[in-house]
Amino acid sequence: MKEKKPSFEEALSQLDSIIEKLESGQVSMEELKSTLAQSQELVNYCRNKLREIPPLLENLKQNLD
Amino acid sequence: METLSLSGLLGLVEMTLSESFFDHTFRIVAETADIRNYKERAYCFLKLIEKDETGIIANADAVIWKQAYPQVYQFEKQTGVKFDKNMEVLFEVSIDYSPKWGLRLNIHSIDPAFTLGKLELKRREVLNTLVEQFPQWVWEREGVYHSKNQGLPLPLAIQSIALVTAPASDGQRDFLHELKTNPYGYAFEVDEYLTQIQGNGAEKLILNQFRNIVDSKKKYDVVVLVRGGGSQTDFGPFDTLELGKAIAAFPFPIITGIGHERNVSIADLLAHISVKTPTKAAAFLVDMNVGFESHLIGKAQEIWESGQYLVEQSNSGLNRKLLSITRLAELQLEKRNNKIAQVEQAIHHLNPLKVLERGFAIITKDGQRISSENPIQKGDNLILFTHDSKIQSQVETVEKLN
Repeated sequence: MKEKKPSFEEALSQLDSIIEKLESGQVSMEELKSTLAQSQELVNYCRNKLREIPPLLENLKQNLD
Repeated sequence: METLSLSGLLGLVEMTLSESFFDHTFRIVAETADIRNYKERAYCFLKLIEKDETGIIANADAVIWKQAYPQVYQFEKQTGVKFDKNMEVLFEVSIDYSPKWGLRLNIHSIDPAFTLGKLELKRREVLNTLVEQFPQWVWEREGVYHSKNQGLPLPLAIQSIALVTAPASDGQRDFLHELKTNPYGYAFEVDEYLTQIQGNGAEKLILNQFRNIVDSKKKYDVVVLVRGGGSQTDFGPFDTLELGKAIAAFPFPIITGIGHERNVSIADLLAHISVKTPTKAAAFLVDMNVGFESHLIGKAQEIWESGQYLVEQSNSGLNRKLLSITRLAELQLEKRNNKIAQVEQAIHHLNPLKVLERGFAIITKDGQRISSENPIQKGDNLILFTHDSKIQSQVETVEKLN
């Protein structure tokens, strides 16, 4: 079954959880590796989501003129 | 007694009257009747009458000749009503008598102010009746009349219009032309409810069209009542009780463009919006849509700015999180590196070769470490390992220390 993609806000919240976990220091080396990989994936996901917005804003701006 | 011819007798009457009234003018108030108006030839025959509760008590023929005829136009222009029968008017007259035509009042001037006063009085009576009998629809506050219709919300943008006007009139043409040629290209859906809107019976016909609008069950944004072109007279239908009542209570906002240059009619007073002409009524609707579009553009601008801000904020928030994660991960890594370095250091220090370098030696007997099970005894052959040598030796003496 295809995994449901998180929303932008859910992805941000997951990043916050990762930060909390890292701040607590309770991370094994294996976890650190997987956490970093997950962080990168979440950040890329959020950036891609954000990249969808400027073209829409540009369209809107063109309609303003 | 002398016998006279009719013309002889009437000649005497003419002479007597002429002696009594020659060069005299009189101001009289009378009601008009039997008007025969010859506009092209610029004269008008009529009757002037006076009534009381019993009926007509005075009656005279009258005429407005060419020199005084412009007074008719002046009167109509100033009062906004057609010079017609059944009107109470103040005239300046002289008395003409001829044996052939009889007695006739020659009208020199017509006083519009008197009629205006009468009209205003009638208008106020209608307004007072509306306020007293239909307070839910019409009320007056500090000298200003208000209606329920004025409280109806106007849609932000106008699309669907019910137009009440006269067919093939300038009002109809002007209104539609202004809408169709609006420079913004706005499209309007106009349903025309055409009817006679001036003259006898116009009020009832207008009211019929109002009923048709309601019966159509269509949700019009506005109803436009316009009258344009033609003379500045006969605004009577717009000052009646029934039309005023209908406008005040109408379920859609009514916009009037009746074209009365002098006065504000009751229809104007009670309509949602009143403008002077059909063209201005159409321009008002176009302006409303311009306002709506500007409002939309403003909203879109706000959305654009908020969107930009949100994207910027989100990007920098994301960067901050990424930075935190990187730093924290580096810290974790650094901790582990330090730990490894400590262990390495310990191992380094515990390396036996390092101990031998400090002058110690490892002694074995028969290939075994020295221990209580494998003690050193005199004569034993031992092998000594120093940091750089292997030494064969034989034990000569063993002396126990403590």
